[in-house]
Amino acid sequence: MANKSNGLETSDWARAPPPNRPFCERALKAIYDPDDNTFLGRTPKRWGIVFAFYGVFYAVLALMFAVCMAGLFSVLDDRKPTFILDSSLIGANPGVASRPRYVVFDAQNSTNFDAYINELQEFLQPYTKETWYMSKMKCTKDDNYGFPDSPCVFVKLNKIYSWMPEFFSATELPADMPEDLQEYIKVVSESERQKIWISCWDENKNTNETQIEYPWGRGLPGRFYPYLNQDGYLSPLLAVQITPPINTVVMIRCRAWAKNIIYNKSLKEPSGYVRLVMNIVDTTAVNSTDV
Amino acid sequence: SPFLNATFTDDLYSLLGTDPVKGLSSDRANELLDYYGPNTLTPTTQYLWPRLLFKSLCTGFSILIWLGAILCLAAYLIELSTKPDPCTDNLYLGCVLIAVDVICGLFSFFQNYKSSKIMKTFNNLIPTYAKCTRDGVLSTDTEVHNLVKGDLVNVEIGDVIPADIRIIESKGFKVDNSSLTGECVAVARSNTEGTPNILESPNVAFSSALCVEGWAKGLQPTVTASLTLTAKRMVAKKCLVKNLEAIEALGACTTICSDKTGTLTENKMCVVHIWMSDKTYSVLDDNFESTLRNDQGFASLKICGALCSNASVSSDGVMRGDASEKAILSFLIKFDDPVAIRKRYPKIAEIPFNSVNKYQVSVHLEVSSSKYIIVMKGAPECIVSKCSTLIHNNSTINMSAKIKEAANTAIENLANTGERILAFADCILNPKEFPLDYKFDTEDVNFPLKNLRFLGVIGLKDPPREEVRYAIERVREAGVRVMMITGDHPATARAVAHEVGIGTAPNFHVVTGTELRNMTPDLLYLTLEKHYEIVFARTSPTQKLQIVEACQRQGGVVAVTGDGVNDAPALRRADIGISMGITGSQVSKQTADIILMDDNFATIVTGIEEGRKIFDNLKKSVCYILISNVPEIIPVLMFILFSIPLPLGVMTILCVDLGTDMWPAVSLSYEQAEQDVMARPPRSSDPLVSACMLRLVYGHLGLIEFAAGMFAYFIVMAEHGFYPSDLFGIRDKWDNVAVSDVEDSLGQEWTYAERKELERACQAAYFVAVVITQMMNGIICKTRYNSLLHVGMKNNVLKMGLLVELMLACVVCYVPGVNTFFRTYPLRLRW
Repeated sequence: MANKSNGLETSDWARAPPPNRPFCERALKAIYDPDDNTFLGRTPKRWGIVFAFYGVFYAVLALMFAVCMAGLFSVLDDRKPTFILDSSLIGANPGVASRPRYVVFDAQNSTNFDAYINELQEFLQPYTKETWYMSKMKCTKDDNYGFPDSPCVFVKLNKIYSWMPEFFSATELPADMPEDLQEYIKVVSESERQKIWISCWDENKNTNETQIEYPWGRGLPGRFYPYLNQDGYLSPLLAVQITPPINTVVMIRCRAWAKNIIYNKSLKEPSGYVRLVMNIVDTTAVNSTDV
Repeated sequence: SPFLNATFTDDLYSLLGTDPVKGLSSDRANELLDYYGPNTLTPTTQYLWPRLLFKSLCTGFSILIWLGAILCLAAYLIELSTKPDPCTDNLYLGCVLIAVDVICGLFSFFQNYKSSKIMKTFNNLIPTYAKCTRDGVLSTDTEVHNLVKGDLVNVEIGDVIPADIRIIESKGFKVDNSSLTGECVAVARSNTEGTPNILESPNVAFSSALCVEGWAKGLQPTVTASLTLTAKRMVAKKCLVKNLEAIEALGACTTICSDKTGTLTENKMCVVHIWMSDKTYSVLDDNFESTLRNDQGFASLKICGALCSNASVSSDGVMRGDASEKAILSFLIKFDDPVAIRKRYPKIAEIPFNSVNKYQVSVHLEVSSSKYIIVMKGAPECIVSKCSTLIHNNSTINMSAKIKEAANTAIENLANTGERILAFADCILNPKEFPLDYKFDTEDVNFPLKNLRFLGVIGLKDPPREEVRYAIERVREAGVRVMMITGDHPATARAVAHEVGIGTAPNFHVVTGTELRNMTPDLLYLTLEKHYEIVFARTSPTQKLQIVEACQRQGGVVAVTGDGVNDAPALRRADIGISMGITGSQVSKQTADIILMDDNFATIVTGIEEGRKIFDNLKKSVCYILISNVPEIIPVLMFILFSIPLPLGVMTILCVDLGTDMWPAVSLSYEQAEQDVMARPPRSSDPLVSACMLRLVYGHLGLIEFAAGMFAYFIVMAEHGFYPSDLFGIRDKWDNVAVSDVEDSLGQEWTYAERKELERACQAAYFVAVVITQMMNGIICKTRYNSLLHVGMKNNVLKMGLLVELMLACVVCYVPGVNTFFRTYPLRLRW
């Protein structure tokens, strides 16, 4: 037995539990252990290996990703989408958009609607060099785009690569086209009919308080189409001047008319029109009526 | 309890309202039963099924899912009340989550229900009846749970104490409280003064403590039979796992402390050697029968053996009696009919075996020759000293000192191999001295007990099970240390250990109980460290517990096998308690985590293999599932940080998690064990989700998957005109319904509906990329250590799983409503 207890002190198979140390010391030791020369459990050499491994691994991963992306870009055309019209998800039915997207302001507070004016000015900035734009008299910066009494809204068609509109001829106008527009089309000359017509109306058709005017005419000229990502291409615009009743929420719907613009009046899957909210608040007007 | 200290039993009777002779009336008993409830322990496992269902529906992770579902539904309701056209996503999500939760819950519920049902049938197999006096009638079939306070209970040897009882009358009554207190010595209990400590009170015997004095080895044959029937039903498993974690723990097991009897050996004595005159014959030799066919000595030995054996054979061939007696008889039955021999030699007188004489003698009459014959059986040294002649080569010769010495060496040799030795001698009495009407007197012996004729020695042994040797070999290959702990003689222990391969070195360490008693715990610890092969002999149950604790101190995961009541403490203490299904006592079975239905050590090997396999496969599954977290989380981060359109929607995440990933993840657990699963050392500190695995999963595989997904996303985006550089920061416009003209890199303008469709297409691309990389990862996860070529693709479930994953992905992409758009995109660029 005696030699056995002697063996206890020398042999390495008799392990002693690690001595208990206060928490701070243990924490410090976890960060740097002078005994094994380890930082956070690893020697500098081990850390080097770890970093080198992950460096190389992520580098290779990034490289592979980059190679793939390069491969992708090599098959892409800078000017022309891979898929156009129906083969693309964008389809061949351009959406209609408006600027501003909604018009809600306090007529008494000029800073309130100045934001709209600024937005429109910025939006129309590229157009100022266009001759057709310069000829317009109404709905320009000079009349503050009709603000605040009868603001102008600019309606445009979404650009779709190589999309060509199919124009209506005077004889085959659809039945649901508003009569005023039909009359307008029948009056204009043949060359003037090569247009995408726009018609706007108040969704609440019972009230005739909303006045809608088309100071720039009723159609977007067909000469702008097709869009082929030309340099300096600008979408045609149409100004619509709306004079809504004050202190009332008005929903304006503007529809674009061409044979290949499909109209779906559903709100969930809208197509062929744009909708905008208009609410001009005038506190003085309220007070005056009250009194 | 006031009645505990009532010294006078009369007080006791009045206290309990019972009659000392007649017991309770059955009416009163029923009344009490109603009042106090049945005499059972508070059931731990027998939940009613609705409660079980509720439990399995609302545990751990599923609570999170429930919360998620409720939040989703609440969000939907709020949206419903505030918005005219609410988004139905939240409703769907909520429903899906609830469905997932319910399905998972039901699954685990049925699993639980099934296993608890098996346990129930097990419990019902052993009918528990108590002998109880009521209405003055002693009935033996009162069910234990119907016992009430005040019942008079009779307890006999071998009975489980049916309830906590106060002893009124007793005769040498001792109980084993080991399962309660862990002490191994049977404690005497009688009607004496009580002590304040109810556990130490000598006049109370506790329920489930066992009456061990003279405890009959082996359970009643009926129980055995019914158990065997159950075993047959569950023969496919052979190993009933009561505690499902145990099988997983078994995979990590580093030490097995095995019992000898019944586990390593068959617990069935049989004759293995015979020494006659000057030669040792092995019974197992093929030509054993032919060499001894015409040997006179062997014939005499057969007759002597048949007459001496106390075992009886019933008409249907079932033997009853002591194990070694049965062994002798079943050995003889191969050569002769002992029943016929007994008829030819009717027994006249008998001196039964006792530990002082160490022999038994009986006088028989040979009917054919009308001669008396004395046959003697007993300890060899005792028999040899009583013999003067011996039978040698068909003739009787005088026993010289030389022959005696030869006999003693042979006996010693046999004893050293761990055999139990019995010697036989006979003497044909002279008919003149002992005529037919001679009165043999066994009290005052009037017939010769000396100068007998020595016939031979037989060696009995409990042979090791055939499979055990190979099993132990495999277990040791697997890095698991096997120790034997037995109550047997050291020589026997050593022999068996050597035979089964627990001790391979010629001089492995055998520690006896006495040595163990003198050891300090530290010394035991050191001994365990020093000797790899170690056998403990002549140990008591407490020592078994000590050994287990010492092994655990070494940091090992210890499995203990045991069948007796006395093993219960060790079984409980061990990490994995393994009990024997056939021979195991009820207590040991209740304590154990695993029950070996066939009492076979080899089943443990399967258990270890199974355990390791399960752990491996669990790891694979977890790894597989975790991988897809990365490509699910990072897109959301990208969406928030870089404001790109969301690459992976909530529904697609659910699709991956609960749809496409499900089957392959589950099928990974059908994976076969890797070839080297038993050649690896047991895992020491290897949690299910290790840092190493997380690094691999999140750092490597997950990122690869994410890169693949993002690439697919960028392809779809770029081919529609949104180049990656323009995607960053686009989110504000992209997700705004009011903006109907978002310009892409090529000047095209997209309405909200068109954008969202594109987003769906991108998400589908991302999704498919993730699914395909997940399929690759599924194959990667298949193996942990072996190469894939090595393992092959044998797992059909996994193959099916991968196929289903692909099909599901296709369904998700192509079925209208989910996404109508997905053509053959140039995925070739990457794969």
